Amino acid sequence: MNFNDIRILSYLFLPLLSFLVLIFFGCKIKDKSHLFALPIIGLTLLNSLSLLFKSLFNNHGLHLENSFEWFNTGSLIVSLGYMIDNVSVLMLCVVSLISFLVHLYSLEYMKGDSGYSRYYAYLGIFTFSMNGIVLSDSLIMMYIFWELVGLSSFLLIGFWFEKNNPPLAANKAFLTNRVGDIGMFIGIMILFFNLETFNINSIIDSASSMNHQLLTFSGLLVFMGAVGKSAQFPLHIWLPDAMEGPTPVSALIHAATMVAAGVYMTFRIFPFLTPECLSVIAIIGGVTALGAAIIAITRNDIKAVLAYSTISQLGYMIMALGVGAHMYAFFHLVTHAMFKACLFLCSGSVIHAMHHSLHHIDDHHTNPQDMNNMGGLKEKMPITHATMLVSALAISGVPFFSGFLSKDGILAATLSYNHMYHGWTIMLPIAGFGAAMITAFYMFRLIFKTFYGKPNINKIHDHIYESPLPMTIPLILLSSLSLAFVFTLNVNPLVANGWFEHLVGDVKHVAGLDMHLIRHQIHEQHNLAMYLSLIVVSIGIAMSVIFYYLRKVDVDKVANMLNIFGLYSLSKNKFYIDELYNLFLYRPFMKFSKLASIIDWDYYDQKFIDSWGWITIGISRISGNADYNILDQKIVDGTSHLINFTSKKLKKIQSGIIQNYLLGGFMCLVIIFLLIQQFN
Amino acid sequence: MENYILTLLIFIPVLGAILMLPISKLYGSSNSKYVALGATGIQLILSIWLYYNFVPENGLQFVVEKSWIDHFNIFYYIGVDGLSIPMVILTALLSFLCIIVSWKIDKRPLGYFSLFLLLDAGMMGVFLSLDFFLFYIFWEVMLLPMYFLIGMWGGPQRHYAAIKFFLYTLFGSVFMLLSILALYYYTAPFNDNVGTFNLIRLIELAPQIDSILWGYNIRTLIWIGLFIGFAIKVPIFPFHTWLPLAHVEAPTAISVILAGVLLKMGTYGLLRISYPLLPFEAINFAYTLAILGVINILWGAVNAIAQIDMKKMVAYSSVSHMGYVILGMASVVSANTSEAGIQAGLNGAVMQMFNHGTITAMLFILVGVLYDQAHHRWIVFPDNYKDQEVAGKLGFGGLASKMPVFNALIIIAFFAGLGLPALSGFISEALCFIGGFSAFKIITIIGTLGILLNAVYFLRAYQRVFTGTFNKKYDYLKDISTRELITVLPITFFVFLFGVYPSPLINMIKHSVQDIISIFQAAM
Repeated sequence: MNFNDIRILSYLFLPLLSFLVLIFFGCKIKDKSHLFALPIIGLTLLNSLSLLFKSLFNNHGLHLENSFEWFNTGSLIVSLGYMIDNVSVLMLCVVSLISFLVHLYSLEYMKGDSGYSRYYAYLGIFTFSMNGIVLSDSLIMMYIFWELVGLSSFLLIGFWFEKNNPPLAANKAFLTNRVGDIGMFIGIMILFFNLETFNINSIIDSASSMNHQLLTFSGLLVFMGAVGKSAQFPLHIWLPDAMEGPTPVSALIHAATMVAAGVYMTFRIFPFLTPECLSVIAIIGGVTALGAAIIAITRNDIKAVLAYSTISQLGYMIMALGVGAHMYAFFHLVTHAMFKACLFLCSGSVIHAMHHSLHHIDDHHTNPQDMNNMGGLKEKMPITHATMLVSALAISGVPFFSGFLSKDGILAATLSYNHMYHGWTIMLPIAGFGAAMITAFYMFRLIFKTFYGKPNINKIHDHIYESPLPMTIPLILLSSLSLAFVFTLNVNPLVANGWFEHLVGDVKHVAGLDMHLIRHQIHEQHNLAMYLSLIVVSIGIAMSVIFYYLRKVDVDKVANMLNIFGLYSLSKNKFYIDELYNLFLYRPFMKFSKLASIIDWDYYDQKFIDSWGWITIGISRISGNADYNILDQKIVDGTSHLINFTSKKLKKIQSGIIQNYLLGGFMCLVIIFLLIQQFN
Repeated sequence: MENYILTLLIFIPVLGAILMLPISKLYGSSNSKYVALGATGIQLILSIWLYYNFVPENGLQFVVEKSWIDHFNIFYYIGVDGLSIPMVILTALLSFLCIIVSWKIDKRPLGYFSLFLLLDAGMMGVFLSLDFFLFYIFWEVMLLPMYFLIGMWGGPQRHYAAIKFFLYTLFGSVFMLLSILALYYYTAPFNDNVGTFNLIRLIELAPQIDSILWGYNIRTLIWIGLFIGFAIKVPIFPFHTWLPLAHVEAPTAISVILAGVLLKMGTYGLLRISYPLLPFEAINFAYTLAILGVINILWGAVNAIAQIDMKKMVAYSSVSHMGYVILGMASVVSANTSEAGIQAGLNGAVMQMFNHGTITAMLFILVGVLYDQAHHRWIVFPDNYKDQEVAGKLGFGGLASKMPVFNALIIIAFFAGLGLPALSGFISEALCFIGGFSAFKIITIIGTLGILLNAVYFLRAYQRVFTGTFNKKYDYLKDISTRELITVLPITFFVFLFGVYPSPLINMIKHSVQDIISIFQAAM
């Protein structure tokens, strides 16, 4: 174990230490819990940043690798190890940075909560397991931390367990994720039995020796894990419910880092995903990006808008991977982490203020998250407004903001994909540009409804105050990280991609994708993509301005007009996907399990198994009956009765008259004599 | 010490039971529990000593072979190897803890604790016997105390449950006995016309049997006979219905022993006896075994989802979890095609036996802790529940804030049950799947649904009982007591240890498993 090992392992053990200390001694330190958690996560952040600088100024990039045998059964050796390259360093930075800011933010947001120390403990175990995913060098290790991340998500969503909804949402999240995990597990097994290794790099090296169809199949199965974790259609249903958790948690886990783990994992296995597999991935990503964006339009809960927007943006990343633009997928992951975390924390700031105001006027019925209760908060919360505006501009893909860079890359990639393959692939750019337009629209709808116009409820508005420093510092920091110049000094993506491309670089693809060609094509489509995206984004923002800022058009009328085709209802009811699951999966299954238990117990056991008992008892009754009433009473006793009877009759012979005896004796003699004669 | 250790392990509980009689006469029968605690305590210390002196590479160790009934060639033949040592430690540990769990038993304590010690002796004997006749005797010895323990100290339906358990197991024993006798007589010609019950000797002899009876090979018939005997104990579908009833009706400690140790005897028997003796039949039967294993996993889980009694839910979860063991064992087919596969399968199966023993013990003890205080364990009340007024309209809910330590433990237990990584259940389940997958692809893929289904009922139960609005009716509930904590913490330790660092367990068993594998590799 050398210095690097210890340094890398500290990513795991420091947050774990924070978890253990706070879970066991949290009841002692209570309100001081952050004093322990914050320095630890700060240390992790410094560690990551120093690694990042190391990899930035190292021409060959950073590459650290080591593994330890976990257990072996002889031929089956399972190792745990880490693999650090530029990508994982960047991911570590994102995780620890946002985790740090959320720790800081929660200091104020969670103040006075009865579970304060438990909250920080859970954040610790989340950071631990998320770092585990990032460091993993093997699929099995990734799967382990994958599940642990699921646990921490479960714990944090259900953090307010005294309420009724959070625990249900936590269950839904865990179980939906497990559906994906099953696929991932099967995929890992198939890969293991064909390539005899769990190690990701070894799999990539030897994947070309595997049957192409089987490789496609196993790639899709492993990707299922990402479908669950990154909330892709059709397993996206858990993420909106997950908003039941505390808002900083939504920012950290359900926006910036954990849900991006699926993208990160797909990025890792990208080199051995076959083109067929990738096209499926692209379709799933496209459908998710567009579908979730459409749903987001009609949400009124501020967090729900952001939740669906997250799903939509994750769809972008997945779609980017599907069309072969792995670099842009990861780029979008990083930029999205910054501005989406910012958006969530801003919404948290608003909710926090709303909550306090409601508390002040002693109103416990109004929903503090409903945008219809807000409005006109701009003057009251200037910092929140400014930072949220910046990140909204970023997510919409407006030039000079980070989202513009990454989203344009993805859109160019979809265009180039269509250019190469034609046919159905036209759906991908349509989904991409469509979602870009809708994103701009609903993000500004959110901004306008929350911060502009007249306050909808004056009483609440009067008691709204800007959040304190621990909450606004993360906002300012994150929103400044959403500016384009952080990633490149030249805002035109056509000319330069800044340090990011240099860092992520190329990957070799082993399953039949020409990365060079893709790169070239994307480059060719960049101009077109940029102009198109500028147009759609302007349309989106303009519509939003007309509808919600200038209020020139009555929104309800438009909604009713669209509803002629059922469009509004579809969006409002989230395409009825929850209902469909409920109707076709959940309820029939619960009925089936009830039925199964009735079959198992009331019929199979009570009727069939016990019938053997009853039959045996019946037979033994009959045989007992036969034994006593027939054998004993009739046959055994009957014999004695018969003897008794005959002896009674015979008794009469014994008369005591000597002549009778003599006659008898004589008769016997005659018979004997006759018999003797007969036989001679 | 080497020569006596195993004998002591078996007979110290018996000594304890005998010693209990004068002590309870002198000091009152409520003091018999101290004797029981002492006896199981010594047994636990001995088993720890055994663990430290056990050399995994050496195969069978601490062997004692003494002639017992000369005329029939029956030996008092005991020994320990990698297959049995985890079970021995598990038995000793759970027996000791279960005495503490039953500390508050005040109905005929002398009877309870003496029967418990006899049961303990029987279980130890089963895991240590290497003579089939001896094995059978211990197998039956264990039944009787169990019958009384369920039938006298159990719940409302205890008589029915006890008789059902007893008869069902006895039914299986008949077939097992027939197989034992068949082995004895049919192997005699290959052993200088001397029949033998020696399980090690039979590994060589049994495969040579080549007679036909009623058109079937004798070996097939012997396999089926043994299988029925063991399958009822596991229990393998469709022989599983005695289990929920017996578990629910038995007192907490007995449920723990039942699920933690007794079920493992079935799979242990298959691995110790059926597999090495009849490898050809095992290979032919593996496909059926895999299907049965998967049915166990899924049917057990689906039934557990429907349960509203927490204890019954845990009981059905045992059915599901034992299915993993069966699926892992079915991997023998890949003896020559994938060594990693068969190793994963068999090691996973043995590990799952140990890990399920600890996890299910934890679950039953915790449910018992709740039941002792609340006097019911409904997840939701049944529609026709009579004591609605007594218990209040609402069932449990929001207990987490009322019983924080208990809540933490039940989270660990539930998540261990649903196979969360870093807890012991995960590794063994994953290995069983990997093993099963190496042999039977589609069946195992269907079986992986168990990963999801097992999570469903644990999470639902957790959500219903421990979260949500707190029902004021249960304001009197107290957090877990120190005594109860003592019973749970050692098991929790193992659940964590083998989840994070499984090597000690695997290293203990893998050499003996390799011996079985080499039998199969030779047989293929």
